[in-house]
Amino acid sequence: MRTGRRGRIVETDVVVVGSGAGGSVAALELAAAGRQVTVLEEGPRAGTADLAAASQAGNMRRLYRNGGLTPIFGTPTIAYGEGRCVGGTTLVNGGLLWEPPPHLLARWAAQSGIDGYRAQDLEVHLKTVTTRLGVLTQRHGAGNRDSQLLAAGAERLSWGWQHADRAVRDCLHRNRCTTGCTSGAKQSMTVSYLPRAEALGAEIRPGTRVVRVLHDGRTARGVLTVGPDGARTVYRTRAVFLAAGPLGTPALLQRSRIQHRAAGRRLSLHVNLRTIARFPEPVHADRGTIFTAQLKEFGDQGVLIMPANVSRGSLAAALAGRPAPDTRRLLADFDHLGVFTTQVRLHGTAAVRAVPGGGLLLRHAMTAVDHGALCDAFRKGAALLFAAGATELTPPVAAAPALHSPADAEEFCRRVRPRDWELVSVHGMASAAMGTADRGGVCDADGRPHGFRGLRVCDASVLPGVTGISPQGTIMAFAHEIVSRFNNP
Amino acid sequence: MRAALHASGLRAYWQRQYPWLREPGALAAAEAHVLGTLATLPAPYRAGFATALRLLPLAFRVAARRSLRAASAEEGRRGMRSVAALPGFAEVVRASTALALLGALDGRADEEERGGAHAHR
Repeated sequence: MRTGRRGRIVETDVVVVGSGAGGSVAALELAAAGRQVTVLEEGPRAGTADLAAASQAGNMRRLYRNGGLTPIFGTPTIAYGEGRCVGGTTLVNGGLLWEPPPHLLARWAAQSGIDGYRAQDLEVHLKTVTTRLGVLTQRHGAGNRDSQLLAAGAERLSWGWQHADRAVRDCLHRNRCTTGCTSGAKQSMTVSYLPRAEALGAEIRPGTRVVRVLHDGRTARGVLTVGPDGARTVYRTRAVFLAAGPLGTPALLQRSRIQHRAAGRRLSLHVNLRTIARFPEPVHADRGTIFTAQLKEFGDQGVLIMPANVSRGSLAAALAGRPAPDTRRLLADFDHLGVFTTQVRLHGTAAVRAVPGGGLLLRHAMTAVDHGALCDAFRKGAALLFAAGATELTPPVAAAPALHSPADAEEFCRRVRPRDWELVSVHGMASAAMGTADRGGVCDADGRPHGFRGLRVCDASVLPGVTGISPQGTIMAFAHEIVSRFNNP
Repeated sequence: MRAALHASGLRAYWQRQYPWLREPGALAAAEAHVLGTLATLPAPYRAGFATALRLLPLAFRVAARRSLRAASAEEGRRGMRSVAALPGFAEVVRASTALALLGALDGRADEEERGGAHAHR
């Protein structure tokens, strides 16, 4: 290390920006190829013991970007959540790991004009991911009564459902997936890929924010960072792998004037509708893992329905827009409640803009088609939950009354306006999408921003479109392929 | 931000609305979570949030013709419904209240075993 005009200068072979699903793949595969790898992570590092020692609210503050309070402005404002910590969102997700359907990959190839990422191309990578993470099909356990009810409701309607495929080893069902697994069972990058990368010599630098990518107009030469002590450091490298997430990567490209007009223009989203269901029997939704059953009947329409684990605090927070007596009444009956997520693939996209001071401005353009899709998805969810035995539903609209029948749900759908929805999103994708330049792509088939060398994008932002499923498996498979092309040009 | 939160009158409003925030330590845990989360926001958002909090008593007085601090639980709810019609206030009150409830109910070590996840991924 030496000191230069911009601060300290560190020479290293490869820098990986971000340590989530994409960055961790890059770190491990590059280290395994014998390269000197430095992983720069904006957020803190938290081990399993740290996660267990802190409160759930404390982990929300520490592990999520903006403490989970990132707004996507528009009608309505959508709350966006993603991890900002070593391990990225894998530390705070449900550990779900689905393989991308072959028809989705074929459609992406046709739409983007990019080949080499079809099912047969990614098969070997998905097998590697599945083996390394110990992916299994999670059956119903002693808890997860909410999942069992969902499955029973689906069977009554003759709708298809499936168990969850998860990256877990000996899950203890502590119900803390999304604020950090307290037993180490969930195979986040923090306990799987990253320790392996470190064993091969990779260095991880938490608390290090990358300000911009340094380049000469055609070739990336390194990155400028601000460390936990506020000091600036330049990392000079032969290659930079960008994996700062669907918000961070396009913002960094914009700040670095690399494909800055195209990057971040089209962020694709899944949004979640949260429905609270009351059952006559005790459900104890706070017992069990995130979920063990998911409705897949309408997966081809971009609609999935599954239970969410819940705590008293998260339930009360979800009800904050409602009159306090509603919240008190529901919490008094906490053991009989289940909280169900209806995930909907949005047609409209959002835009990410980097603003001075390191901030981001997000704005979405939800369409009339999306509002119709939300109504339709809610209608399906209501039918499922009433079939499962629910006697009352609280829809994700603060001003809406409780619903007691499918007819009430129908009336709700007739009255709800786009601005009324209380929406959450935890899946952003395609904000620096792979695709030929004439089709609006930001990156080429090797993950390089068009016209640039020495720089590759390997996270959710490089996906050509929206997955319709939890994207971790798809992100990791793409990252494997991108790094493989770099290691074996 | 602490001064802005105290000036907003929200703490008194929450205590009237939610029994959990009247328990010893709960209000402190709620306040710690609200302030700790807001501290993670970028500076422009923080500044906007603080301004909205400081303006809340005035907005409430204009909308409800009552002081937020002196309003009963029912008056507080009715007043907040009117305040929500003013741009930006609905989001700030809802976000602050959500953080306060999360902090009060899930923000203390002795709440650990109640467990819970906040969103499906």
